[in-house]
Amino acid sequence: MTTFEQTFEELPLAGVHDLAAARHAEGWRYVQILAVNTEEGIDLVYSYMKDGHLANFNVSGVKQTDVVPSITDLYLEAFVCENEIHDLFDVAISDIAIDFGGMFYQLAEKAPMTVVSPEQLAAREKAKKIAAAKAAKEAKAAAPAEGPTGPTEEEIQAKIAGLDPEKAAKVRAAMEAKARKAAEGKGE
Amino acid sequence: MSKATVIPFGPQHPVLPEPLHLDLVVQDETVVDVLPQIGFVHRGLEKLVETRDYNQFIYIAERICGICAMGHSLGYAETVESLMGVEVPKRAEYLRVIWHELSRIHSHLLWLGLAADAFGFESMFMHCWRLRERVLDLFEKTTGGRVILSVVKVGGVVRDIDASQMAEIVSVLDGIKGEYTQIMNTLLTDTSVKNRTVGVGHITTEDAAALSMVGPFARASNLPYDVRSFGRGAYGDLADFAPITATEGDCYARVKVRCLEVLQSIEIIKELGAKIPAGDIEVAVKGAPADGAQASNVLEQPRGECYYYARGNGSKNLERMRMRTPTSQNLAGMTVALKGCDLADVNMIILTIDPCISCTER
Amino acid sequence: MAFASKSPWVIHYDGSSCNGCDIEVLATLCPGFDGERFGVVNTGNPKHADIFLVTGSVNEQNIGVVREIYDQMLEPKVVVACGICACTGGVFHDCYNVIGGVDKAIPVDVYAPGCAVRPEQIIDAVVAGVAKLDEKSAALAAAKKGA
Repeated sequence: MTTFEQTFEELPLAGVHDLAAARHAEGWRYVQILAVNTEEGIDLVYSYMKDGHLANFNVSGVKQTDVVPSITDLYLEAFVCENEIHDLFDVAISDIAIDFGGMFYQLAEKAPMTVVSPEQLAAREKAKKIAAAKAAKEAKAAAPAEGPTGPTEEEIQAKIAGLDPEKAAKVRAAMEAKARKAAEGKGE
Repeated sequence: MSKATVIPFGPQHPVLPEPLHLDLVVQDETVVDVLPQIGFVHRGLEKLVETRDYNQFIYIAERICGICAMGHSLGYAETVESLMGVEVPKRAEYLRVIWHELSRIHSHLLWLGLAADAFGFESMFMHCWRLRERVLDLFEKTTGGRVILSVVKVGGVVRDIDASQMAEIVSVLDGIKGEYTQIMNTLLTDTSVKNRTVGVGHITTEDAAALSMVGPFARASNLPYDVRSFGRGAYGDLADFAPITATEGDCYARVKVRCLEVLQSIEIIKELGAKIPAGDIEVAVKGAPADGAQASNVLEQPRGECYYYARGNGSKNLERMRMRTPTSQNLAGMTVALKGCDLADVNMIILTIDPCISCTER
Repeated sequence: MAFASKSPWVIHYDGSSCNGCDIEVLATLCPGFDGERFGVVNTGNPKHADIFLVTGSVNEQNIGVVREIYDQMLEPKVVVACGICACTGGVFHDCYNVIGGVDKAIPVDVYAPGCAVRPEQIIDAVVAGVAKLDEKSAALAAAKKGA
């Protein structure tokens, strides 16, 4: 029994056709091509298989202006995936053996997989902010001896002195609680 | 020199369960060229990963295709488990394979009925679907659904099959086996069937390999590729497994391969049913796939090898879920098989690739 | 009872269905549930059909096809939407390529929900459709007499 293994490797756009030719010469089967919509562009993943080894090759960040060479001259069955990627992701692929010219799927909107809905956009912005805040916090925690980044102790006291007495008391209590917590955290 | 006419075939056609459009360029009664047009079933469900998290998406994955529903939910769950590094308990693996092989039996019986109907053998269609009802009854008893089973989840399975149900499955399958063997022999030895299928839609082994064909379509042209031979999951515990192949490469060979696969699946289920280990049927899956993690997976669906891909982005929604079905791989092979055939054989050839257009287009 | 409702012939078309409902429609006509005992025959020709069984939702590409099959059928005709995708779009209602249920393309007379719709429900739906067929047939006859 042959065993199954999968690998992922990076591939530059220029190497797509040469890779297909090399694999074809060695007798690898074509499995599929897929596209992923990312912020930097479209990622294409080409998959080939031989003797239980599934090799996936990732071409990152293909732009709208890039032209991807077709591999249908070597592997005719790729025309299905290439036409689909052209229609759904608006990636330009040249010389497809059976080219439907954008009419493979007659869609209501162009390149629908690249459309990011407003809710999705908002969710992504939120996730980015949370990730950035987390990164900043970690950076801060990793470098405490670099000197205070916020206002100095005297400035804080001066500010509190200038506040309403009740509010000042509240702020002082909050600061003490924070210091206590930080001490506990450090002690762990 | 005769003139070429273009005959449109589909998308609505009595022999096609699904919409597929072909422009057949015909000279007299011979097809000289074929241009397929799909897209009638395209729903765009891969984009739904944005609005359904990875647990909810399994319900969408099942409904990619009603015939291969079990297979898609299994392939999707395995891919996400591979992405998140989840290991499923042994008993769950066995249960998944038992349901998947039952799904293969129902799919092949369905196909056999439709293929017989394609050249007019309507009583065979009725017999096959009558036997198929018994398998659907088994599905209903063990999962609650006849077509869409909803029994696989990320981390295992949702329900168990107890010993009495397992005994019932085995006895029903033994009952089917006797009648099915009679039907199969009738089909494979009948002169009219042979006249309609032998030598029709021939594809050589070299062409099959060059076109990367998969599934029974390829195995009928002597290409012994079957994902089950990798021995993953419960398939690794089988005493022996060999893909069923045929050498003729024509429609008759494809019918023969699928007929024999039904018997092979019955034996697999009986073997696994006897060996099934006790234990948990699921494992709790917490958290989300890591940002940038990728996983791919292949699965032997009734129609051939199906490829799944998942990429995570750190949240509970997958960044991308992709499924490449066996039929999209075989479309090129179908186009090649149709060239040079008689117009009356078009039905038969299309059905022998076992097209599942809703899987192809998602 | 009108002639058509003694033996309603059906035509089946799959819009953008996953095939689950389609195989249940075919299973209804097979020995398991035997819709054929009601005189139901599955025909491929719209001009021979009385009841149009549609499964699956409509998308940009097949909305024209569904309308054309409906237009080719002769009056009186009844449309039965089988399965939740044909009724409202089902679990795919928010996909970018799904316009909605079949009633976005043609007028529907009977809605039979389910995922996949069960053969018992399809038989019920066809029987309800046959009652509607009778009504439409009577109305057509009355209109002819009046004219």
